[in-house]
Amino acid sequence: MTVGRLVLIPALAFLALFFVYPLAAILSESLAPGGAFSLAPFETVLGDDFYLGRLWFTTWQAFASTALTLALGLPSAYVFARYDFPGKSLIRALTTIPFVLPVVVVAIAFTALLGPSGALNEALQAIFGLDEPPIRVLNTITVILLAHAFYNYTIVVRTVSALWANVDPRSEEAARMLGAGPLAVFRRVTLPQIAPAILSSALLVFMFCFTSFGVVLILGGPQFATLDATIYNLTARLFRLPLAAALAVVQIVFTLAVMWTYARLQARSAVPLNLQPQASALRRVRGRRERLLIGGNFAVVFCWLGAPLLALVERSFRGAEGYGVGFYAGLESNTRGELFFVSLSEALTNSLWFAATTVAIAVPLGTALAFAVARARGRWRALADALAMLPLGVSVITLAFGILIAFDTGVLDLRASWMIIVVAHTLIAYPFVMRSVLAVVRGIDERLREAAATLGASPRQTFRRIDLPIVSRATLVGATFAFAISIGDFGAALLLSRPEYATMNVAIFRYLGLAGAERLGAALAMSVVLMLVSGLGFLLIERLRYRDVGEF
Amino acid sequence: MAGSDAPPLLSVRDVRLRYGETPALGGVSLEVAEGEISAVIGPSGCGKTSLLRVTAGLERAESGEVWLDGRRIDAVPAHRRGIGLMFQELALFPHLDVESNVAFGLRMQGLGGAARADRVAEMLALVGLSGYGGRKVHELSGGERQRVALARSLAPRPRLLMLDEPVGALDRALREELLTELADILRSQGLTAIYVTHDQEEAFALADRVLVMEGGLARQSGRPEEIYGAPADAWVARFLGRTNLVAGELTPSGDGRARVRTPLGEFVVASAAAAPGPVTLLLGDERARVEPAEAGEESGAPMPDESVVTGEVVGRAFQGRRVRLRVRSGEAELAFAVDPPSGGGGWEVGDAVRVRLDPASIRVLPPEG
Repeated sequence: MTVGRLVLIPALAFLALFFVYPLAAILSESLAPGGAFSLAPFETVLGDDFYLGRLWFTTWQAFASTALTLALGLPSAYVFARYDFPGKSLIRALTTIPFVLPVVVVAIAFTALLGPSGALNEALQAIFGLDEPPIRVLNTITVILLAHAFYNYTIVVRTVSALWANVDPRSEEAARMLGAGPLAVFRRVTLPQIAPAILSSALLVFMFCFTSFGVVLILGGPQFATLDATIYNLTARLFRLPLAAALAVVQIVFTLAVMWTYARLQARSAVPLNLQPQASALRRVRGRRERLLIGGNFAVVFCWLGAPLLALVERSFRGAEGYGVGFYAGLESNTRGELFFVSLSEALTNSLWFAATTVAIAVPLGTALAFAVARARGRWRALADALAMLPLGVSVITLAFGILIAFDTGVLDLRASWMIIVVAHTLIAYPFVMRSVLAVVRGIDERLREAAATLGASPRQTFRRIDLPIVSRATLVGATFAFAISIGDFGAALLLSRPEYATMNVAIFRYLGLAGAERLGAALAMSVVLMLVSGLGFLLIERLRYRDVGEF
Repeated sequence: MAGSDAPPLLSVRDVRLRYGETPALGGVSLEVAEGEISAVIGPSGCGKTSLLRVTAGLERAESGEVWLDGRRIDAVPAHRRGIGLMFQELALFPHLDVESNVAFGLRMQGLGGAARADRVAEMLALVGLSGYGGRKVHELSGGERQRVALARSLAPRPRLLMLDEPVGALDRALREELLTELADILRSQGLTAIYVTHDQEEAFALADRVLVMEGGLARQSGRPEEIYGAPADAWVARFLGRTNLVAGELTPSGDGRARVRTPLGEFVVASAAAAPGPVTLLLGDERARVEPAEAGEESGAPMPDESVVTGEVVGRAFQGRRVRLRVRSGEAELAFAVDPPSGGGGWEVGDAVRVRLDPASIRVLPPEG
């Protein structure tokens, strides 16, 4: 038995048990609630204006969020692709921060900035002497779109600028020499060359927004709900599992269609462009117009990305009696005798423990699958590819819902176990590990293995001495992704965790559900701690990442 | 041709450009007459590509003027200048097929329908690629890409075509083939062209006039034979591959000749105008004769005032009709391409030889340094 199979068999068993089986459970719950075949759940879901309305809202808010994200991201992508300026890599790193922040932190940061007692309203009231807060965007679609764009901005910037930087600027100059004005150059030469990146990043953003849960739940309030939020409500509050299952099936069909389109576009964008080394395409910033363009771009980006986070930090130190660390101190002791109180240290311990366990399982799983996919041939390859990537096409809530209804009986009753959260996190995280490693495994020159073989190395030795050392860094990147995903997860933890296993995200959400400035302060303070912990993971990714490896 | 009364088609006057702190053009002028092919040569980084980009309108010069057809075009954007440019990297549009690449400029002119299709077909036929219209750019070989790039820049009938190292990336055999073809096409279309290259042989093969550039400055311009025969200074001579340079001290001898004392001995030169003082001598090998050093004076009648270099053969390379000998004389190493002696034999490494030079083949250049 080869090393590959030795690791692959447990990996596939894990996926069969914790991914395929829950999906089957969802299907059976939706088609045969209570054991007898019935289309009633689907008839309800697809015939009821309420559920159709949720589907319609989910779709159009995802479209609108994607459009806004593109509008904000494309100018920055151009600047990163074409110009060289001091501090560029730092600025690029900073623009990634929102993406690695937990949803809950983002939502709370927007509350801290734009809420009725948020920093912006307070400032405007003080300046213009107003009695009422002038900005009322909480619980509106505006703040949902803003938060989605805030979150996904860096996907557009990174994906598009990576390709744009490699578009030969001389092809644009050649067009000018052939009589094309600036607009014609962009439309006929630049745009067709960067279109694959724009489309694929747009699809990715669309999918993230389509399956958005935390942002909509926290910022949107009761009148807005995406499919995921509806599934959550049906499951956790209304206990109408067959309806939730039917909605989950609709959700899966929809996201898989998007995923499939995405994969097709990725394959098509592999048309060889006239790729130039990046340095040759980079220009120094010259003249007032260019300085204005770049300065203006970053001014907008920093205000919009930075302000919510600054507001979050500022508000977390601002109690009724002025600035202080009161909110932080209050995180440890249950002064009000709350029933489900979780102290900061408990929540932090839970979060870190789940993250560490997730890393320990997701890394070998993802690495084994990466090697399997890289070596698979023929129709095995399609199967391996699909199995490995499918979890990306299933939303976190759907995944958690499937696990919840699948493991509810007998020996397989995991509902009370902390393991159930780790299982969910592993399923969300391992595709990222796999993609990081796969990119490197596919890049290993076959001649290295051949050279090792001619030097007397057995396949096993070759694997240990050649393959593993080469992928070790990508594995580390994958591990960091897994860590960040587990630390940042809100949906799965909310749906699956028992009160005693509350993560920081769940604890923050609970604070938000309780009335009073004290509780909001506690949510702010714990969000800052959570931001710091996930920020550390982000720093690691940036330090370890190969250029363009581990890109989403 | 140069020197005619008609104003030049293109006139670039005292153009200056810098990238950041690095000066790229330090005041360069260039004139190209209608129907003339002009070459700009120089080592990489000499500013020749910058000169093209300023002329094309892709860079804005800090000072200086660009005139085309009697009109000042400094402020005219690149896409309205009517100048064609073939890039060194070709810059074919990777997302378009061959036909759409060639049709691009015609489309920009608003030419449509049959007229455009006809012109594309005509251009593809001209470069020998009829029937290639539907091919993808990445399916083409290096030589085919070159031809597509040429067809693309010719299609919109530019007033002036500029070519930046158009065959630079190809291997030698293909390069020579394409160069011949290119020369025929340019002549047959009656094009005015500027050809930029670092290879003087390409320039000489193609151009009516040559501008030699170095360090952002024009070193010399003239017809190819003028430049090769009478390089302006030691740098130009070296760049053209003429490396037999010797420093010396010139003394006029009053009879229209001068004597130059060098470490290799004394040379007689036919240079009446030269002022006394330090000079650099360029030793040519036209009519040079090589003989064994111990042969004495009896081997053939000496030319009048001929100069003689003695030394040791340190290398020989067979070049077809001639043999190139490297001769070490004192500190200097000189190279002479000479006819092999009739009746076989020849020189081997280690032979002591005497090289007799025709005074007309020795040029006096300004001193170096």
